[in-house]
Parts: sequence; structure tokens; C-alpha cells
Amino acid sequence: MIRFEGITKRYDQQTVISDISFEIEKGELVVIIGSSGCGKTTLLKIVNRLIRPTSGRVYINGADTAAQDEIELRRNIGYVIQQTGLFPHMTVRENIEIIPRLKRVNRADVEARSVELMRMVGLDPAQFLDRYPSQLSGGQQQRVGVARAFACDPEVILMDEPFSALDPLTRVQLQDELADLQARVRKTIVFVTHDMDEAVKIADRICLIHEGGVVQYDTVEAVMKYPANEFVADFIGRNRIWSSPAFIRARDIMIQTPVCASADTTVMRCIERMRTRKVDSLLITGENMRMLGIISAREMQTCEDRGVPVSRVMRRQFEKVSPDENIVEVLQIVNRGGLSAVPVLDEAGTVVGLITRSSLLTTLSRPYLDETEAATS
Amino acid sequence: MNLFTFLVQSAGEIATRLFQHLQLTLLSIFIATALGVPLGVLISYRRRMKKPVMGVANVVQAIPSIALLGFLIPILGIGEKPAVFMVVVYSLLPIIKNTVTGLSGINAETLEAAKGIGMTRIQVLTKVKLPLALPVIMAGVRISAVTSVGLVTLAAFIGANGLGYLIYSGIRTLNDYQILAGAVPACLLALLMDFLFSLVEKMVTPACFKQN
Ligand SMILES: Nc1ncnc2c1ncn2[C@@H]1O[C@H](COP(=O)(O)OP(=O)(O)OP(=O)(O)O)[C@@H](O)[C@H]1O
Ligand SMILES: [Mg+2]
Repeated sequence: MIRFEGITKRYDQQTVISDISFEIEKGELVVIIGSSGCGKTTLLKIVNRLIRPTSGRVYINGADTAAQDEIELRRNIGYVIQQTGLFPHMTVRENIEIIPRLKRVNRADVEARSVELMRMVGLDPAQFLDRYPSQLSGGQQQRVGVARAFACDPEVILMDEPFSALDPLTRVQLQDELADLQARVRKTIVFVTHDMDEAVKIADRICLIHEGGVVQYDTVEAVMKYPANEFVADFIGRNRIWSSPAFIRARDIMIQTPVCASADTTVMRCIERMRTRKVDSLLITGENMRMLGIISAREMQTCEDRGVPVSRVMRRQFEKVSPDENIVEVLQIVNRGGLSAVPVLDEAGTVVGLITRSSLLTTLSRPYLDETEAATS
Repeated sequence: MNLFTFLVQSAGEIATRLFQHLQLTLLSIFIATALGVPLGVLISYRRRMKKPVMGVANVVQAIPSIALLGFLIPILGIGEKPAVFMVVVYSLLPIIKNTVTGLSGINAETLEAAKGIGMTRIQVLTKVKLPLALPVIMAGVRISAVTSVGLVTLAAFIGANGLGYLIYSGIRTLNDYQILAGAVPACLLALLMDFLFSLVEKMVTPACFKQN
């Protein structure tokens, strides 16, 4: 949808952006993030040609933006900045309708659209359309800014720290609303911020910029779990993942080589294996590691004939989780069943791992232990 | 004869002179605004022109008005033409200055937004810049309007009409009443101008600034 190709921007001797290339998919919300002055705004403004790159090109839907009429280009791209972006001498209605009117869109259509847009951003049209921006709260002003960006129903919307001047509560509220709105309308949104919490909240993908280049461009989850380098890890904060437990998945915390036994192993052998491996339950598998059942040490102790295959005494009904289930879901399953361990199976029912109470404990205690280690070192 | 009977006797002439005076003043302000605002706009776009234009306007302002009138006689002759020219020249500076100030006082991000959402340069000027700068521009026009009333009285020295004629002939004939008959209405006219233009200023102030 939006493709940056070898974008470089130099001011005199200072190179702000050097040779950035990446592509934003249609319908994704990409957050461009980085420390102050790293060139986020510059990169954003290159998209709607408020800034001309020293070299490189931006393609939208395969068309080189440099070859298009810049007024036409901008009218087809929504643009939201901080509250100062609203025209103070125009009412909310006039602000929203300015471009459609300049485009000479039919009057009735424009008016109907304004009402629709106001509802979309959660403002009562009757109450707010004829007010001036100065008669609105900061949060309301930003909603109007968002509504204006949607006025011509653009495919691409650019947002430059639209919520950064708001108080924390309002900010979070607007972030949530933007995420909801985006889930419904699926626009291609490029959102600049320097706030990682904000990025985690709203982004499909994060583009982290440092020293003029893209250090990592990936999904929020991937950036948090597999930071490309030390800088990224520091920037996102090492314990960041703990504030978004939905991103911690079963596959990240499971024991990857659980102790298993095939179905025809005798109970005797199984007890032996448990003792030597110091575990209190065994996963019983068939062909290709397909899980058939589970048995605990206690259940085996009560078994009288220890010569029979374990498949005769194992439990065939058991709780399981898929590798992509997140830690919250895993905890719920473990607690509900009062389980000491829960196997992780893929779609084919193959054993890929095991989560035990102690592996959960280890995972959950990590942020606190890391902190104390950091404090004592 | 006392002042009162003098005024009653010459009421007709005073009214005519006052009307002429008003005409000259308004004409001058109109021309000065029509020239000053575009000049100010031009300067605000072309930074390099700011120094020379403001320099010239400042120097002109510094020339004593009577001297300027004298210089103008060989070029424009006598009568209303040089008079209006002189008043315009003096009125330009406050109008240009305020136009430039008004335009440069607009929040840069507001302008960037205007550009960013797809307004052309002309649209940015007419829909955003001028409406936002208008109160400041009008304040400049108001200053000019008030000083113009005084300047137009001087025009009588080179044969222009207006209240200055009464003052001028009053001085020559040592007729205090006549001087007053010109000066007092001129004074009142200046106050009236100030009042009228303050109304205009309020009218053009965008509603959003009034409430605060
Ligand atoms: N017109 C300009 N002339 C020279 N240097 C500039 C100009 N505009 C921006 N810069 C420089 O380019 C760099 C990047 O600016 P930019 O506004 O893109 O930063 P940013 O990442 O948006 O920062 P912030 O988070 O503070 O908004 C800065 O170091 C800035 O000083
Ligand atoms: Mg910025």
C-alpha cells in the first residue's frame, strides 16, 4: 500500500533519514516510533509531500507520489496532528467540511457525512457541530481532528502524535477508541509517537527508527519478544511484555521436551522413568508423538498390576492448550482444573510441550527477579 | 459676534467642509488599505522583500508632512491629488506593518495542517491566514484612519478642500472662531473614525477569539 524506497533526507550536513525502505500493508496500523528528533515526523511528512526527500521515492498503491499533483495527493490522505491542527476561526462543522467543500462535493452529502463522522468519533453532532474548537476539551478537539481526516474517506491516514498533548486518562481513552475504529474501518494508518505504551495499544506493526534507519519493523509481539538488538530491547523496556500478557503465549513458556512414554510401555517402566527424570506426571503418546493420555505418579501408585501397558490405566480425558494460547488463558485452564501440568498440543494433537505449575511460577516471577537482580548488580 | 452665532452662521459651510474631509479621508484609507494589505501579504511570502519595503515605508514616514507636500507640487500639482497621495503614503506603514505582524503571528502548525489536508496556497491565504490575521490588520487600518483625519487638514495648504480650509483661512485672518470651526469637527471626526473602525475590528474578529 505505502512503499518507502531508499528514502534519504539531509538538511545541510545533517542526515536525518538515511536510505529507509519498507512497505506498509493495506489495512494495517503502523506505528513509527523512536526517540525525539530521530526523524519520525520527517518520514511522515514525506508521505504527503510536506517535505521533499533528498532522494528516494514513496509509492502509494504502486503509484509514485512524486509524480502526482500534490494537492490531489494530500486530499486523498487524512492528516491529523495535535490540537493546533484545527482552524480556530472555523466551527467544528467548517473544519470537517473544508476539504469536501473545496472539492465541491454535493452539499447535502457533505452535511450528512459530517453527522456520520461526528457519531463515528463519539461526539453528539447536535451539540458540537456548531461550536468553535476553543469551546471543546482537548480530547474532543482531537476527535474532531480524527473526524476531519476521515472526511473524504481516504485510504491512507497519517497521524503525528495526535494524542500526546492530552492528559493520560483521555489519551488512553482515545487510543482505545482509535483501535476500535480501526478494527471497523481497516484504513491504512501511519501513526507517529514516541510512547511505547501507545504503540503497543494500537499498532499492528511497529517501525522503530534509530540513527536515521529502521532498526526493526515487525508486529508488536515480535518486537517485544525478539528485539533486533540491545537498543530495541532498551527502548521498548525489558519488562514491557509483562504489561501485555496477551502477548505471552504457551509456546514461550512451555517446557519443550516434556517427559513422555509410548502407550505400550509398562506401568513399571513408567514409574521408573518418572523417578529418574524427577517428574510427577507422564504424557502418553502414540505414533508421531500424538498424545493419547496422561498419568500422574499418584495414579500409578494405586495401580496393582505393574506389568500392564500404561495405556490401560492412563487418563484419556485431559485438559490441553494450543501453542498460541496466551498466559492468561493457560492460567485459567490450570486453575479451573486444579492441574499440576497441562500439555501443549498442536492442531494434529502432537505433543509440542508441557506447562507445569513450576514453569508458570518461573515465568511469572521473572519480572520481579530481573528487577532485584538489576538492583543488586 | 460670539462663537455660537458664528457657528450657526457658517453651519452650512462647516457641513460641506466636513463632508469633503470625510470623503478625502475615506478615499485615502481605501487606497492605502488596497495597497498596504497586498504589500504586507507579499512581504510575508518573500522574506527578502521585508527589509527594503519596510525601509522605504519608514523613511517616508520620517519626512515632515509639510515638506512632502512641497515636494509633491511639481509632480502632482496642487489640490486633492497630492493631498490624497500624501495621506496614503503616511497610512501605508501601519497597515503593512500590521498585516505582516498579523500573518506571522499565526500558529505554524495550523498552517502546516492547512497545507497537509490539501489546501492550495491561495486557499491557505484566503481561508486561513487572512481571516486569522484580519483583527490585527484592521487595527492597523484603524490607526491609519485616525491619523488620516489629521493629515487631511494639512492638505488645505496646497489647496485641497476639507476642514483644513477653515483652519487655514482662520489662521490667515486671525479668526479664532473659524479655526475652532475647523479644528473641533476634525477632532470629533477623528474620534468618530476611531469608534467606527473599532466596530469593524470587532466585526471581523473570528467568533472564537471573542469568547475568550
Ligand atoms: N527544516 C529543518 N532544517 C534543519 N533541520 C531540521 C529541519 N526539520 C527537522 N530538522 C531536524 O531533523 C531531525 C528530525 O526531525 P523530526 O521533526 O522528524 O523529529 P521527530 O522524530 O519527529 O522528533 P519529535 O519526537 O521530537 O517530534 C531533528 O534533529 C531536527 O533538528
Ligand atoms: Mg515529531
